[in-house]
Amino acid sequence: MSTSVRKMLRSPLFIVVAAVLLWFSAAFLVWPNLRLLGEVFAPDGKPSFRALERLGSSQRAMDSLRNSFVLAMVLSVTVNLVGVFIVLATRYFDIRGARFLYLGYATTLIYGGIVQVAGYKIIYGEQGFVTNLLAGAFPEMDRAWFTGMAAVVFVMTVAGTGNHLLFMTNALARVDFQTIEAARMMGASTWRVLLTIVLPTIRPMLYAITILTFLGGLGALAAPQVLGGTEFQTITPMILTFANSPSSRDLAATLAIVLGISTILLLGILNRMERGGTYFAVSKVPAALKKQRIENRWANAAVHAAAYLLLAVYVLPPLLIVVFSFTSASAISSGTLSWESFTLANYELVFTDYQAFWPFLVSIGYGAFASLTVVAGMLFVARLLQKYRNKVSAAIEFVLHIPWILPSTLIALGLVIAYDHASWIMGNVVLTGTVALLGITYVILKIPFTLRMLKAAFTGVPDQLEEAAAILGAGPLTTFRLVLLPVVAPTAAAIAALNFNSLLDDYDTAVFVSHPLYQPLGIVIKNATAEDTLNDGTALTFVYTVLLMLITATTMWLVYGRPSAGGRRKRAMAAPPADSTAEPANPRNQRN
Amino acid sequence: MITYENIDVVFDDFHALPEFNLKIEEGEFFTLLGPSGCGKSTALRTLAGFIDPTAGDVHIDGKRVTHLPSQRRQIGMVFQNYALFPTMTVRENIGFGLKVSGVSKAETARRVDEIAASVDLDGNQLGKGVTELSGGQQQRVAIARALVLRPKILLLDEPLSNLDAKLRHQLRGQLKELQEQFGITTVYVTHDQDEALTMSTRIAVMNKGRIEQVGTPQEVYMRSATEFVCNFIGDVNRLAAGTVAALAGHARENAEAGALDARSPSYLRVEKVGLHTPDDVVRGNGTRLMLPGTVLSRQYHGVYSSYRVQLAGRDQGVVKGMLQETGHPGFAAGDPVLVGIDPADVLQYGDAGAETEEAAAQRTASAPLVAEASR
Ligand SMILES: Nc1ncnc2c1ncn2[C@@H]1O[C@H](COP(=O)(O)OP(=O)(O)OP(=O)(O)O)[C@@H](O)[C@H]1O
Ligand SMILES: [Mg+2]
Repeated sequence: MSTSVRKMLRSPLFIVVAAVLLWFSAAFLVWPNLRLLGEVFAPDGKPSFRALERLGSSQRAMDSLRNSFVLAMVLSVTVNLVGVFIVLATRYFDIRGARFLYLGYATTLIYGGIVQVAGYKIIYGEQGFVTNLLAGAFPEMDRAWFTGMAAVVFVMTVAGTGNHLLFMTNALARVDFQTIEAARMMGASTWRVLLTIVLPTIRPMLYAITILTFLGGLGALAAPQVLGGTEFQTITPMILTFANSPSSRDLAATLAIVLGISTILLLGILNRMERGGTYFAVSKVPAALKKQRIENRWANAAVHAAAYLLLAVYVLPPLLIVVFSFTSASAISSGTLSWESFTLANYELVFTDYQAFWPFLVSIGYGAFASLTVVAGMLFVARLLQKYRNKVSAAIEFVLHIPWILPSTLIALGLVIAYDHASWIMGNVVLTGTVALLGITYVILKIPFTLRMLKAAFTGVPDQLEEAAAILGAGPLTTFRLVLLPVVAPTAAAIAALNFNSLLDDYDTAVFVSHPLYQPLGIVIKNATAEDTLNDGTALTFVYTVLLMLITATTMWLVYGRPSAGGRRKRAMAAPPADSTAEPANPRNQRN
Repeated sequence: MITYENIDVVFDDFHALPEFNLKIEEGEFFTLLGPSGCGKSTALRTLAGFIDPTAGDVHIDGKRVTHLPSQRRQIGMVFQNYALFPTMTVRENIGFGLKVSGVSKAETARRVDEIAASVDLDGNQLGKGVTELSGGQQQRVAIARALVLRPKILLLDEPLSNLDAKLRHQLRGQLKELQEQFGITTVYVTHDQDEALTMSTRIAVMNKGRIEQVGTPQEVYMRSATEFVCNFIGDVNRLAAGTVAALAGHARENAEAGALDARSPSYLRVEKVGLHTPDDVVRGNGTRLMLPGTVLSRQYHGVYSSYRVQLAGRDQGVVKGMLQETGHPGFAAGDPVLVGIDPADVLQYGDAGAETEEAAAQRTASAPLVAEASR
């Protein structure tokens, strides 16, 4: 069904929103990226391929390109292996303590990005607690053992399996158990059923996760930067390095564009698969999965052992972080933990010392501002796009999805380059280096996810509600305020919470655009990893991390995990459906 | 009074209502009846102001309202799914229209109470969320919400179709009583001919966006103007060629039975089919033609049974008839029967499916419902 453009123009609300939207899209979504292209292909206003040549002759740049693709490919294998294993172990096979295992693996959902990378470095790095312990036992060991490609792959594998926990679990739950029963009745073994029935059914989902993993590897910033050492640097850290020196800004732009094109291509493939693929079982009422026993005793024991070993790998770092957040730095570095070393001093410091609390405050401020702004703005946009369907609205919707198609690095760099000088489109205001830029960037990055979710929420609101309000005398704005808003409010709140959550520990964007005096947590935590010794700053990092984990866990619980007191209906309204919120096609949400 | 004047509604390239003309009188219970997709809702929504007609005009009480926004048409509407505001209580739902038009709180409360009482909603229910109500209660809230603003016109789009059969029957009567009590001009949309026949003062039967016939329930049923209406309303037999030929011959022999055209599409309402045992004495009526046949099947409905009978004559086909379950033992499959048909009961339509004016005039003039076919 399409609505005529004429009718659309008759709505005053539409015209106001459209005007704002057009300017916003032009200024923030289109122009910066054009500027970036200009920087590379027409630095002096004339077409030129000098930037490409310079890139080709820079050894460091070419190495970073190669490393990124190697990392992406290796991760595609390791993340899938581990991810499939942990999902099968907790959701498919009959393994003792599966719930407990799942909770342990799920720590990766509340603990990712720079926080996780920093945590691993502080524990396994040169001055790390575990390294100290090991060095006590093997004095001649290399203290820098946890660095380079292996370390990066290790950390990113653990983080990447979050996708499996969210999406593959979901896909697995939709496998029609009747097909499994049927196969078993025909005499198929556990392994055969797994290989011939279960895995093929969830294969499209695995492909999707693989592409996301690949993209995550390609655009990785924190892990290679902190743990890669000199010999394993990848594209994004290199972009950051180049962007910071004016003479090589064109190289940064060129690398960003290479990254952008690769991303677009891969997302194109993903999109095609989404369209053609059936992710889920066709059967209307698939029978719920019953856990499968592994008959072979040895295999059973091996799977149990592997599952618990992985649990230790997953849980040890966050656990140690919680423990260390209650101890003094000296106790950690000396590796001598006793009852006396436990203290609340670190927490006291964070909450009493303004200096220590400041980064937290900055992150909360930016997160709250951006998540509320984007939800408020998209509320109108989503409704209008959902209501008026024609070429104009389709074009607007496409443009709003640009931040989803392009890597955040590219978006951030584009903004920095486009607005480091007075530009008429911004009313001659320079944004680069200001406090505002990070907030704006966050808003931009959260648009696609917010828009998709809100549109879905509005789709669930029958048109007749609006008609009923209209015929009872309510104007469009009154209808929006009194009828539509209350219906989508719970979803909007959930989306705002998820946005807030994911912005709180952001590092990748902040490192490009944040103001030096208003640095959010992510940057402060990253800087703490650069110190040679464990000091009180490190202890603060632990406290920040624990607080972040708490906030994230609470949000996740509020959005997804609350026991459904008001029955299914109420809950379905409050939370965006789990598959769509946690949709795999949203790399921004999951990328490290 | 409501007038649709040369209304045309086009979706993309599809003419949902081509050249739509209709007059609805003050105080009428007027029903738009037709199969799914025939444009009933489109006609109703055009009146409500939700659809902008591509051409033509809508008038209410002589005033042109074609492009007037819904909120200024003084219309109340009950939607098929009721469209109750899910985040509001029953009271808030009913009072919504008063609230947005700035009526004071006290006045709102008074009028909500008043209207709630007239649709049998008690004070206890007023405080509940609308999702806690049953389907029937929700429907009453929807009606109260529509009536509380004292609109001039009430629109109902299949308001009973979401309810179970029993409740549906019961609410028909209540709805009709309410309409009479308020004396409000009502436009009712349904695809259920039973609803249309029982509730309406007049009915417009629609097909593919066009009105086939407008008339009282009796007119529409007894004197279906077109083949479509005849088929859509009630239960009819389409008579096989052999049967029509036999009836036409019989009619020629009995002048008082009127004339039938052997080649026109011919229909006979199920209740007009007489079923007799072969040894029944054919009672006095000479116009009735008796055709021998065999019972194929019987369906028991409680009050009556319906039978499918294979007629014995060449090309006479199968007819369906019914018998009240009152004392008569009825027939079993395989029983021989005599099927009695009065040629005067046969409805005939020209090839175009429309009655000729001449035939219509003749039919309205004379009691026997026989239409002369046109060529
Ligand atoms: N907004 C629209 N865009 C395109 N086509 C439409 C639209 N609304 C209705 N139609 C088409 O117009 C025709 C009439 O639709 P309408 O809803 O009026 O039928 P209806 O008689 O109410 O049927 P039902 O009994 O199924 O409700 C249908 O063929 C429908 O597909
Ligand atoms: Mg309809």
